Amino acid sequence: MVQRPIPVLACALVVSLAAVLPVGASGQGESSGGPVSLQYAFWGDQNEINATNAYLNSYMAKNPNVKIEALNFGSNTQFNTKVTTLAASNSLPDLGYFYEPNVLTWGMNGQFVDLTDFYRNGPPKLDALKFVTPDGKIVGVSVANEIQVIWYNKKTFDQAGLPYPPAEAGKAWNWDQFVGVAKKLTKDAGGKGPDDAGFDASNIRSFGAWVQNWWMPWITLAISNGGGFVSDDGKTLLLDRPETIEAIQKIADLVNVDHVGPAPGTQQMPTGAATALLSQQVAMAMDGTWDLLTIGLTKEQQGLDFGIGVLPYMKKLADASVGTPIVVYKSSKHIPDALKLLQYVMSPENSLPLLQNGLWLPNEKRWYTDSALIQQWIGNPRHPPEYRTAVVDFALNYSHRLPEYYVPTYSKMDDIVEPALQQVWLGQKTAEDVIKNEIMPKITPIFQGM
Amino acid sequence: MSAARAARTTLLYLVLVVGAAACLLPVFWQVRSSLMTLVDVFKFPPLLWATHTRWDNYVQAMSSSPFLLYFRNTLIVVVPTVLATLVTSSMSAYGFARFRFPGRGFWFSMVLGAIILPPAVVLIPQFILWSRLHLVNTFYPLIIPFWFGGGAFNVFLLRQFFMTIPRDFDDAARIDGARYFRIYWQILVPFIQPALIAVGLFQFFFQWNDFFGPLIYLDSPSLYTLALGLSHFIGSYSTQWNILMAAAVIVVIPPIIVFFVGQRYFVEGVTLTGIKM
Amino acid sequence: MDRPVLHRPARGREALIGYLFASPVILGLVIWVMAPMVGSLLISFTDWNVLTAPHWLGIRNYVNLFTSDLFFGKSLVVTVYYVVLNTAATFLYSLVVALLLNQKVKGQGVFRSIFYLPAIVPIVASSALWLWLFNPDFGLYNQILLGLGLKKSLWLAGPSTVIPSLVIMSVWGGAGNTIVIFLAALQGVPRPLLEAVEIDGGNWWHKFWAVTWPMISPVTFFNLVVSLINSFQIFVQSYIMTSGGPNNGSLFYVYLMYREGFERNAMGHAAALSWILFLMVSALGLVLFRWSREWVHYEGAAG
Repeated sequence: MVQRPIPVLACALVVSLAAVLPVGASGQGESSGGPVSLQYAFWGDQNEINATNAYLNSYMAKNPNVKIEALNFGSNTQFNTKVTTLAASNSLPDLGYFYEPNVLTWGMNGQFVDLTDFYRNGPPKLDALKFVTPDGKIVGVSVANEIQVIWYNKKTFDQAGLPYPPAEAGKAWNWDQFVGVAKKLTKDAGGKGPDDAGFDASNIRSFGAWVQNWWMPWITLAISNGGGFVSDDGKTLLLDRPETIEAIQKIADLVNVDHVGPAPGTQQMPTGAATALLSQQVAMAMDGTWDLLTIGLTKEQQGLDFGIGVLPYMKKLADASVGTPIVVYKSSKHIPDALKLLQYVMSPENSLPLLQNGLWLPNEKRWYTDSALIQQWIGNPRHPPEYRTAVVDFALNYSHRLPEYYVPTYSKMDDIVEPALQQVWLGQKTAEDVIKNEIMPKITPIFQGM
Repeated sequence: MSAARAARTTLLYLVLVVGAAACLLPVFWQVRSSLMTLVDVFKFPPLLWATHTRWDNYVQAMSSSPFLLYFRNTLIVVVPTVLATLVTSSMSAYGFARFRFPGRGFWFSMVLGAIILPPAVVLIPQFILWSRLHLVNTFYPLIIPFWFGGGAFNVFLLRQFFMTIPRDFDDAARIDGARYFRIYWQILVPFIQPALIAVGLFQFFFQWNDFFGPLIYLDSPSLYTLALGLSHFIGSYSTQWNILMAAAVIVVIPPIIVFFVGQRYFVEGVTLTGIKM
Repeated sequence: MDRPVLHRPARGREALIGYLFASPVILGLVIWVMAPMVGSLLISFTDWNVLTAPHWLGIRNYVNLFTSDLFFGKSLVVTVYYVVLNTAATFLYSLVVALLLNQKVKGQGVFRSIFYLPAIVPIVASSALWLWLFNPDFGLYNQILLGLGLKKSLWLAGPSTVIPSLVIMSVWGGAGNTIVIFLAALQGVPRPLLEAVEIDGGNWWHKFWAVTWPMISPVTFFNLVVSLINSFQIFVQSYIMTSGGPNNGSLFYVYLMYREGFERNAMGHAAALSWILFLMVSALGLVLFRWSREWVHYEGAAG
């Protein structure tokens, strides 16, 4: 008769279960000086790949006993899938980038080395870039800083005879001024603007202002209006404050009331700011400073004459910082060597090509204050003259910390907030209605269960 | 030809042409974008064709990634897999279609269950199994499972096809003294040739475009297949649509060739299945 | 009256040989399917989050799904809607196209290739392409709508249009396989039977229902089952194009599983989700198989 496949099943069972139990932490001891092999995880586009390989190679040249295997994961979401399977089979890398929404949860689960003491030494990093668990441990710091700016096409402004967006904090537009300019730059198929008679809102050819619908822009503008998502001490939800609701409503109104923004969607304008500006489909794009790389290339290769302006403000000047952190895994067998590499990689002077090509901003305060360092960073044709005031100074003075850095329940709450807010962006419901009636009842228990 | 007939034929062609155009539109869009400058791609109202045809988009796409290496790797995975699928799935299907054995119903419902099974359910346990065998970062996890039945989907399909062949043929062959294997190999398999070709083609295309399997099991870039390489490419070139579309076209060309070649056997298979009475 | 003696072998021998032929897939099932499934079932009874040792929870994950989970219900509704719409659309479209292609048209080979072509395009590339085609402001499809005098659609950006949009894309890319299978079956329909209907004065409608439909019914059933089951697995489109939106309008079940397991690291929870899916689809499969006895006609069944 047929052999019952129980023995096979039992074997597989034991195997699966055995693999579930994590291997004990290892990696104590001093840096040996003997041959060491490290795995460094990262992702990014071709420029980032080239630059990363370059600085890893130069590290290996200076430390001949160290061999670094660079694992390129393609994207942050691919990394997410991969790192879970790696964790499940106990083959995590030694250090590397980590998907921001999960940094705190993994950190609180003891997966990362506590870097608080590590960062006590050396030039201070920007506070807004530190991933801190509720009990005060730093589990990672962003390898680069990124804020938001207004990117614009000078040609579009020249054609309309309008002055360029201001590049200095002192001259920043308030929200109404920003919307006013955007209206003058929005044209339908017949050349009419939103304030003209006979304007056809369903047939707009060029949009004045594009503000995206993910959390970075709306939290920033909420902060600018006196609200926010979570208070800085991590104890209070600010989402239902009137200031926050008002800010969100104003962003939604850009599309549905002012008619200056492109249709909302989870993947708006998938081609990015550079192409949107070049094709003049959009006059002003509020987007991250990482765009300088592609926008700069678009200028050099396709002649996009771009400019950088500071963000408009609602009640006070505000911006926010994001950046992928580098973490060190507790399961690494070479923690001291990994920390040495961490030191190297986190130092802006070693990743200069990525600063100079516009993709990254430095993670250390002194790079925003010391003229010689600033010059090293932005003294090249890729960085336009206004970069100094619109980015360097603005980042130093007005950038705020975002919830993913200090609120462990943030990604769980965002699972509820993002979809619900889509109704607001589409103009189907008001911000007040959605936030008070749909979002707050669901996220309050999650936030408090922390 | 009568007028009614002519009208019907015209209608037929009309429907087919409209349907074909709808199918081709996105593909056409992909090709046209791949030959344009970036400005032209997003010009509004949309351009039908490039103002300056940029063949060097393809050169750039080819040189930005080791496509030849990826091509070789993809072949290494695809060829054994398709062979394994054809052999083992037809054998297994024959077993289910023509034999009575205890537990047949149970195992067949397991086959159906396997078709239903969302891969995500078993992803982690399977991965753990392979990593315990120290075979992660090799091609084995992508190939070996297909030597064990070649995919539940294919077993089911071929079983259905076997069941459309009347038992008379088996019986006739048995009278002539043929044993089971000969019946399988020389009588029944030729009957289901179109289905076999279909299975082979499906498996080929599935493996060619599969990126989730390689994503999980291949760590070293030197082992990447085309699909995985393309998805990395997308991350790197997300804003350079013209180059991206060029790369996608490159990846699609071999399967298209395979399909055209395979089609011919399709037709031959049709003649063979004609049952003469 | 005396039939030639058929050497039907003894039952035992038949069984053994049957097993031998079926052994590859049986072994495969045990190793790659059943054992991992048991593993995943066990995980679903724990709170395993990949990082720490799991703790036994009993059926708590399952209870939570039906009581406190905020996405399970919506995800089910959205997924079932897609499954029904997609299966019906793909089935009808594929059958019609296969029937048309099976006529003696000139250039049949060319047409066949064109209809199959979309199935060959890597889904990652077609997702990027369709995102742009569907763009509400600048995408080609809205331009076509405007050109035909119709209103623009939000396509993927609208909560009520996102699923029909995804079905259109799915039929475009997925029907190719179904068409090919139907064609193979249609070409196996015995000509003499069709001619017999013609001789009796029947037209194409009679031919279809009297001969074609019964003859291809095993394959029809197969296509239906596979289409239903595949539709339940929809994932890449959510993952690449819509992130489950807008407002969870495309929060498909497998995408939710992926998110819970790989982004929130709630493996136990994800495993429970996967088992509920599996049970649902199995039940559906059983019902379908029962129902198929009414209308599926097998020529050469083993009994």
